[in-house]
Amino acid sequence: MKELIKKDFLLLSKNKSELIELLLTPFLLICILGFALGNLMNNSAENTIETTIVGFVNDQNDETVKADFEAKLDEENVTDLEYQQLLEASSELDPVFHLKQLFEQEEIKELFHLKAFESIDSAQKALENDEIGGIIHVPDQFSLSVLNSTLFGEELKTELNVMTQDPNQIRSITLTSVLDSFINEYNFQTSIVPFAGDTTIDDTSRYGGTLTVSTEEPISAFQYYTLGMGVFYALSISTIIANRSFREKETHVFARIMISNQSPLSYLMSKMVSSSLIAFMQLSLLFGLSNLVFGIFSGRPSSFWLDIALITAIYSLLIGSITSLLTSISLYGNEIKIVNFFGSFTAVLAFLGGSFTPTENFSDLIKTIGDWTPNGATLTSYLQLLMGFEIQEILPLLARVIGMSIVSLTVAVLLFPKRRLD
Amino acid sequence: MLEVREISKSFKKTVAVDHLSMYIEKGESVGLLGPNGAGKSTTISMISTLLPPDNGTIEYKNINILKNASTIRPVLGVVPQEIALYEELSAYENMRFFGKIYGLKGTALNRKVDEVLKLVGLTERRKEPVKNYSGGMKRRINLAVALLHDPEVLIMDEPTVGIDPQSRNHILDTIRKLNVEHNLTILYTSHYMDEVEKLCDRIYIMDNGKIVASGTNEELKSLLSNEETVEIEVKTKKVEFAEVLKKHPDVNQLYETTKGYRLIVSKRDELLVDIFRQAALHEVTVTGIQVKEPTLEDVFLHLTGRKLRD
Repeated sequence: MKELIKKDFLLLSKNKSELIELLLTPFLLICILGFALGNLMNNSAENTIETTIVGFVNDQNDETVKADFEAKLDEENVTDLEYQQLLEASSELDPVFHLKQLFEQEEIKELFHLKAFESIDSAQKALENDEIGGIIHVPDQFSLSVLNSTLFGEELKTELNVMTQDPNQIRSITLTSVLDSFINEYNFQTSIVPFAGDTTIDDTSRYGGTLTVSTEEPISAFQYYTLGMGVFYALSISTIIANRSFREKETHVFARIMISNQSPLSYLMSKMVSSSLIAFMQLSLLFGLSNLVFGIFSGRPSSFWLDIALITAIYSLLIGSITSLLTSISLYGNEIKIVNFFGSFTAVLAFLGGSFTPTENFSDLIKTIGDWTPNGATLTSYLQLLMGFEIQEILPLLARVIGMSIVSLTVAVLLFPKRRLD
Repeated sequence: MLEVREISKSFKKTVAVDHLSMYIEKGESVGLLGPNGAGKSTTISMISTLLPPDNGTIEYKNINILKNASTIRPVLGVVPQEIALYEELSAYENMRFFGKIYGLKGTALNRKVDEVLKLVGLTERRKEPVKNYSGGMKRRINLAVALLHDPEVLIMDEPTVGIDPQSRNHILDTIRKLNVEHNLTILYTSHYMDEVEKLCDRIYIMDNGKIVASGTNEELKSLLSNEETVEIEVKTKKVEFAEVLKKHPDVNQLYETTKGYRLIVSKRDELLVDIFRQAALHEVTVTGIQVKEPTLEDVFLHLTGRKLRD
């Protein structure tokens, strides 16, 4: 099998047009798209990380809230033990306390800085003068209303008010998004309190889980298109190698190899391994070159590089499996159409997978389909890693890529002709 | 040494090979002669263990190779009709690759590659990509690759199709040399009867998937021992004249040639007189006439009613 793999590399090295297609074309596209769309992506990225001052108006008095809650407990028919537990819960569940804590988190502090205002009027004036980007207004009795609602199921009488200058501004959207996430998370956590039998919300980092979208690191156009073009052009390897396999059959080279007593499956595996190795080398070269020229991953720790290598290795295996599947189908049916169709279809896959433009711009359906394409799932994995996600968080997506590999390879092995070899 | 018994192969509704039997002894050179579409390549694919027959058996040294393909593959050299090479690679690179997959390595591989390149006369141009070679040179390398692992049996499927006479003679001389000097067992398919006549000790004639005759060159020609071939050249061909000849009781077959007619006739001295008489009657000017011994082509015509190159 080693000789079959070496031969595939030798053939690739002799074919200039294939080398251009695999290396030069994607790199040129990275340059063109990176420069052309760089400003657009970079500007939005800069806006995202600019710190915005947010006015904070708290109309409620903490002592009054506490006293009112104790009075409420006196009214309710509760035991002494329950009285104590509910009193402790009230301080631990105080939404304003948690809201302030949220804005103390490092990731949020990079985006927003809270500035206290005595009254809503003064805050509104500052907002009009563009001194602040938005206002969070805590109305009187807000915490009491939330606690009564949470612990006694009463109707919520007041609500948190958020004001922004222009709701369509990125900072306004981000602020709203942060608060929405906070409220959802708070509601979720407090809704499970009675059932869990635990009245403590001590793990404030849980809020961060839902807020990662807003705290992600920005992605530059060069980063995006290096990854996008990389996963797109790696698909070409499957077409190139499967095409060559079919040519080997047509010219009876395949028969000649089989007569030399090589097993059909070792031939199929050689196609998978050589495609995987070529894909890994292609992606490594593209990433390396892009990093050298545009510094796409500069300053990243070695663990990041290892994670990138892991994703690349998994995707390369998928490319190898797709190659073996295409090889099997074309040899089984003695027909090259499927390989040519896949070759044409890679552009559609690239579009759906977000290689040309981020799938955030698409509908949810297209986004979902895109994440189920081999390149789309891999691109999302790369992007998430780049945005600061831990590899564990990306594992479900990578498991999807591995699943696709296993399915492709299994079908390839089942279909590969084992008796008719001429 | 190699025995094929009653093998058949059909593709959908087309019967490509129909209960074919043949044998080859060690050191023998056997020809498989037949027109395009006769089933020669399918037969070769089955003997080469690349295509399983629908029924029948193939034995090499009394071992069923349909069940144990690995018994024959290491000693089998196959020269396909197509140029089964990587055209982007040089002859040298091709030979090294195929040598390695046969398990050759190191100095043994280098020595064998040099030896075979010398045998086919391409040592000087071994570094050039195969795509730059002439058709004849490609065919020579196609043959050379099949010889790298010192096979005991060499199967060739029309190895001289579409090449210049010089390369053709070189290939035929090489094959003859391999058979005579190296005692290589050869199965040679062609639709060129002169090649088969020149190279083969025994010949199988095949048509429509079946063996229609077999034997040595002489044995096959003796099938037409009571017949001879008459070739007539005329100034202008006339349909009426051809019709009269066709109906003559001593004319068994008649074919038009470029310059006249070719007749397979029963041996009878008076026939020539009849031919000239009919030519005069139909105002056909005979510019030449030749009486020949029957060829394999004539045997094939006699047996199948078709020309080899139909």
